[in-house]
Amino acid sequence: MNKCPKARLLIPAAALAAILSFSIAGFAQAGVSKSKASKNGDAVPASAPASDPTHNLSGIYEFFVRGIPDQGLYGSPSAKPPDMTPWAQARYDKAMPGYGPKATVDSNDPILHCNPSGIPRILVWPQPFEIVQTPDRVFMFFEHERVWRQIWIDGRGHPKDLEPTWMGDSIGKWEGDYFIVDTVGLNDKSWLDSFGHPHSEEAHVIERYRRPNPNLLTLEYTVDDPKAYKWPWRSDVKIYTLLRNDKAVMEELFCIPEEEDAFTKKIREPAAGKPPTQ
Amino acid sequence: MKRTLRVALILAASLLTFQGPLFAHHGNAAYDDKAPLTIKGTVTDFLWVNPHVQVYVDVKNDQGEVVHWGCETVSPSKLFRSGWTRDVLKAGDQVTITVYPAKSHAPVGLIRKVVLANGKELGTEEQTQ
Repeated sequence: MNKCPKARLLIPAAALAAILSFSIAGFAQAGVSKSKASKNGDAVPASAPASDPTHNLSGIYEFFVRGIPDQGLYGSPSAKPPDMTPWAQARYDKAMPGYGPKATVDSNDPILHCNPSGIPRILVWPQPFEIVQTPDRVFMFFEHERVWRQIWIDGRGHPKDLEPTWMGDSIGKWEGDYFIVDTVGLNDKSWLDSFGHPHSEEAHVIERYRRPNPNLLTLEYTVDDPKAYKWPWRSDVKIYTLLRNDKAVMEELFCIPEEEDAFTKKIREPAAGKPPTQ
Repeated sequence: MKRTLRVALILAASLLTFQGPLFAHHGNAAYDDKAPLTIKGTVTDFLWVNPHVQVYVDVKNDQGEVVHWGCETVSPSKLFRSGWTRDVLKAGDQVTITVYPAKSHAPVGLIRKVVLANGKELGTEEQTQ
């Protein structure tokens, strides 16, 4: 194996310091709420204002992928999905993912044609995102695909008769130390994860964020999608680290079909055993 | 408390012992991560583009024939945060590159490390913290 001792030790050491300063109680409290969040159209209680220093998620974070079992490098809620309905199984059977139990060199992942990853898949992508709070909204800007979402925190409910979209409609509120995001109105064009699992337009995603210390953000999310899964899919605890100041820059990472196609022809296809095309 | 402490220790141990895998949005199934290969040659092209930065290298094989290798790594933004720049390589540079080679045996690989002629190493650590 290749060795790069300094990099291998220094980077984990910094992360280790962050983990060790992580409130242990944070793990103890890290259970997904069993209470149902509001359904489409219901009101959500007003959340604390963004100016509340204890309710501040602002920062640039990166998904922490280093060696934590089931942490989800490959962007899946957890290692074991719920049983699928026949509708979902049929879609899953057609999926040819680049990761997971069905990993293939000849993936038909929609993102390879620059389709958006969508919610919730983009949440567990190993590329930074920035959270910015305003009095009425929390914004999440994702470096990957250069997409963003808004989470309303002004007490409104979801609109009636939502037109399904890639990012859906999100409302949020604080419950103690947890920022709870409730998302509906997703289209069914995106995969739920990088393993090729589907979701339907009925998907209801609940995200629970917590900032146990200034350097860490944790997320647990649940996908409740009765059209696709026989019970809600509850994620592992996902961990994000705040990027150091000198690294905390959001770079441009559009998915450009022209560049994507060129890369496929020059690298992906030969690597998969296909002759290169010019 | 015991359980949570155990979780914290597992996390800490994994941080110290684990070398992060590289993430490619198309998947890594095409590459053999059990048999890293080191190649030495001359850069012919360096593409600082999304979705993955690419380094093309002419490498002489054991028969003295020149084989044109295509090597991919992560996105420019991740490399930037790992200390790379868009001009860190240029055509004509002599480099030594460690890759996970394609299982198809095509001269294509996933970069793990690049060593420049002056000995400087360019890593591709996933974690940029």
